[in-house]
Amino acid sequence: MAAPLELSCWGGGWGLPSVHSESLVVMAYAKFSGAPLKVNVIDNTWRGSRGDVPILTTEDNIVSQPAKILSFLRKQKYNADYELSAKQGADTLAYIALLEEKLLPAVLHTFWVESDNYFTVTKPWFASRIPFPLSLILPGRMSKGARNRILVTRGQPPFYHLREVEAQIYRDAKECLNLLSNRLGTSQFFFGDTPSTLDAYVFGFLAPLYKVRFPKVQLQEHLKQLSNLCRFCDDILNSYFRLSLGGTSPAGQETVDANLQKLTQLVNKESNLIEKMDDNLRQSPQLPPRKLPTLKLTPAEEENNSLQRLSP
Amino acid sequence: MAAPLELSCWGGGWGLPSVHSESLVVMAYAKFSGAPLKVNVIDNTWRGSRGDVPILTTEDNIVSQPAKILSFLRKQKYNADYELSAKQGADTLAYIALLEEKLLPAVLHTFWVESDNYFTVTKPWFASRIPFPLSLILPGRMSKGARNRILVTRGQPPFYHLREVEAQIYRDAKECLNLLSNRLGTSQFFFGDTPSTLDAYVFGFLAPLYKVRFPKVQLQEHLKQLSNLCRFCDDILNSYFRLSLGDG
Repeated sequence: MAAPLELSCWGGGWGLPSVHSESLVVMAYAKFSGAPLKVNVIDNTWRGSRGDVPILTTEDNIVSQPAKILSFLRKQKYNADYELSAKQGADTLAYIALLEEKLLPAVLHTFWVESDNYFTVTKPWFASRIPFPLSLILPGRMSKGARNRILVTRGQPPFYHLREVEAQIYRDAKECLNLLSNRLGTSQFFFGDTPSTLDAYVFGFLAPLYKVRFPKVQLQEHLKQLSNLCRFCDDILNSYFRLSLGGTSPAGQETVDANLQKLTQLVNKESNLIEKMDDNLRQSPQLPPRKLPTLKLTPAEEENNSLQRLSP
Repeated sequence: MAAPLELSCWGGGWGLPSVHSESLVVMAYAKFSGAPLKVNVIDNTWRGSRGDVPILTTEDNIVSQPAKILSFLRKQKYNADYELSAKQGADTLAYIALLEEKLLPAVLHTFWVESDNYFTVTKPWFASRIPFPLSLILPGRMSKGARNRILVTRGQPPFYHLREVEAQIYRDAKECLNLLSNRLGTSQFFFGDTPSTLDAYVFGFLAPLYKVRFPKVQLQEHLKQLSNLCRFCDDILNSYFRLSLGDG
């Protein structure tokens, strides 16, 4: 556990720590399980292979693919599923398979195949983070890979062309979103009050669909009608990712500054109060150490972490 | 309901009404839901397209793909899931996705890619039911389709060759079988005492793996250790398919 865990992944935008589903799954799982990850965002100075991203690096290992990375983290005792029953564990795997079969094709299509979306949003975003001349080649290759993935798994007879498949995959994706919404209900997470692997996967698949601004948005519109899923994504973003956003966007920075300001004011107020009681304090050697007031923004165990992260 | 429902599908062997998973799923569902199907087994006199099998034909419709056929039967009021809750319905879809993602690649590999199995069992069986000269071409095409299906969905980096994928897909399949065994437990069916769509799918995927005699049998051996899954398949065969096997 002393060896630093480094995660190389695609960066964020639109309020997300990453716009790439697989990177987001790993980042969310690390937050849920308490794994201390050093996140290296890929930019156009990064020299590694981009095909395998996200990649976890430790002193002795290089692990790619979200399932393998999560498995590795569990072996290092960072286990977010500790309290799940065997049946819940089985359900987790089944629902992840459902996400990959029913939702992923439509997500891939929205990002990489739908022309308006691809040319105006996805391609420029990725190309700006890939060095020339690879930036001319790699986005196109990723787009073709997405197209192939969709056609081979869904393009069975009687579908032979992408256009016919498109209607079906969006229907399946909407059905999958409805199922997830039903399954989540009014709970905070899928298996009770603490987030687990399934929550990481659902968040990883849904959040980019929810937040990234695309021209063609039919799946996004459907998702926005499922308010408990939107609330689910927002809760995770606010509880686990807000303070890390300090360096990535002006809006994030303002939030951090505002929090810092509030905290400073509260600390000052309390120190004034305590100074007014100075006689009693000096005569009372058993006074417990002064606790900094904490903001009621996150669950109790997150507060200490968030305070530590505020300081550089 | 007066219009006869005809199902064209691959035939049986080794005690099964069909050796083809997708055909078996539809046949099992029809038995569970009480749909009166007239089963037309494909032999080498059959002139239709074999790529879409199983195919359901009624007076006005031709439906292919198991999911669509089951959907059609439900609309005709043959519904095996009538008593399931919404959550059980959602679990059904999730577990079917799990079967297709984790178990299907290894089943496809066992039947169509593993050389010993393909050349000694699968290819002769299918070729004898396809008219010449298509019998020289179609099995090879089905084998290539299976190989592609496996590689594209599982052959992600760092796997680039079939050999590397093979170990992974068999690991996943064994894990999936263990999960199914856990989930079934001591119950007769997956959601209580009456069989539903999920039972049809699990039966469709497991029964060929259980019964067909292959040279290379690692997945079969693993399945045979999960006695409740074997009992599950045998129960369905005995209860729903015994009398139809008279001429198989």
